[in-house]
Amino acid sequence: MNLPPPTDPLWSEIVTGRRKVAFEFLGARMLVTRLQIAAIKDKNPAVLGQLAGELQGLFAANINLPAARNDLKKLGF
Amino acid sequence: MPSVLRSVEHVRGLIQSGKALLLAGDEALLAQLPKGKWIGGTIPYFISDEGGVCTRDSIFVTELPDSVVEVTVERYDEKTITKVYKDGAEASFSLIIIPASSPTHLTFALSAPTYPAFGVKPLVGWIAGVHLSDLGKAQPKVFDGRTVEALTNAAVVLRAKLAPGKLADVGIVNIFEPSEGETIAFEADGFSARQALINGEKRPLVDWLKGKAIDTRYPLVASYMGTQVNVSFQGVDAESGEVTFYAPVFAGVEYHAARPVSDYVKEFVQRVPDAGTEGIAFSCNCILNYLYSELEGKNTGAFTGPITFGEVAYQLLNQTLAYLVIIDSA
Repeated sequence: MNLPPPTDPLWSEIVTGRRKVAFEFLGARMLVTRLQIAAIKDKNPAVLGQLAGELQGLFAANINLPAARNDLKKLGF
Repeated sequence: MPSVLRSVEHVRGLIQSGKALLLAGDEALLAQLPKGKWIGGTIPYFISDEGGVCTRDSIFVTELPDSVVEVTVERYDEKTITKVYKDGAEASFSLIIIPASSPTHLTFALSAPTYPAFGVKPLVGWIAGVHLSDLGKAQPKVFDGRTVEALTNAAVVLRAKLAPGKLADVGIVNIFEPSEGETIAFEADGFSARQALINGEKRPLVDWLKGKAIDTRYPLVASYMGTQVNVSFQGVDAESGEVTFYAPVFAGVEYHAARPVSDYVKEFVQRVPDAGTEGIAFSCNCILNYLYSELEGKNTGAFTGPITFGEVAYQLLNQTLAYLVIIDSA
């Protein structure tokens, strides 16, 4: 399974809440909640890029976890 | 995997045989143990195979499963705790214990979700406490098995690597659901608040609690992308107007009062994950669930472990059961 890079719009769309996903992976639920709050507080594109990178990093590190894989399938991977 | 109450002698033998252990018990018992691959924390309340129990005579032992091939122990304080996730990025999972109300606990509770590499690998654990009759008299402590030091301000962390083909995952069981009443929000992160935004209107929190006759045995509940995360009430000072919490409230998060629960065990059983309880390597449950739901003598199935002053499933939680499960890689 190849993940899209941190710069792929998918990740920033999740962080800004434009793309809604019912995550199964608990780590993703908790991280995305924090990232979305951070994205509301600071709308600087560089900050958004950093937050999107954190989310991509979470899935990259957990790509073999069944719950994370189920979430990635929901995202089309 | 064994998770049971044992005598000091028995635990001593396990340590001397090289077992990696997560321990919970009275300070006087933990202090008698030899050096080894273990971390521990003080608490006299447990859920054993036979149900909830309070004892100062035994140690609750969680033996790491055979699939764990390497273990290291690390120690953090309130200045270094920022590295707790990043340092664990190469481990399969990490188990953490922090003494209640210590600077390390409060710092972790407030800021953990912003630390580098948050969530990258499973972090599960608990907040050490004391017998409720000792509140204000005894201090919660954690033990670093490498030195058998009792620490009042530290996070002890056991890092574990699993054999190839095995993975760790984190789960929670939370019986609390938000009520359909007002939304509650806060203007700042913190363990206390005097004002809150009730349906967007800034009001004294005490007035709202009183006006709505909110039962503060039940927590505030927030939805984290569909997962219910609790913040428990510690105290309500009607005179000063200050409301204190066992975990921080966060600005930007919407909370609701929890719906009352009449039968904890019944609700709990209904919420045990569909996948069952196979592979559970560790679990802990909250002292407030133990107290308010009168869990002494009651059984919560495969979920045995210490009863704690806070639970960690990636971040600090309240009134929640947290667990770690070992599964086969996808």
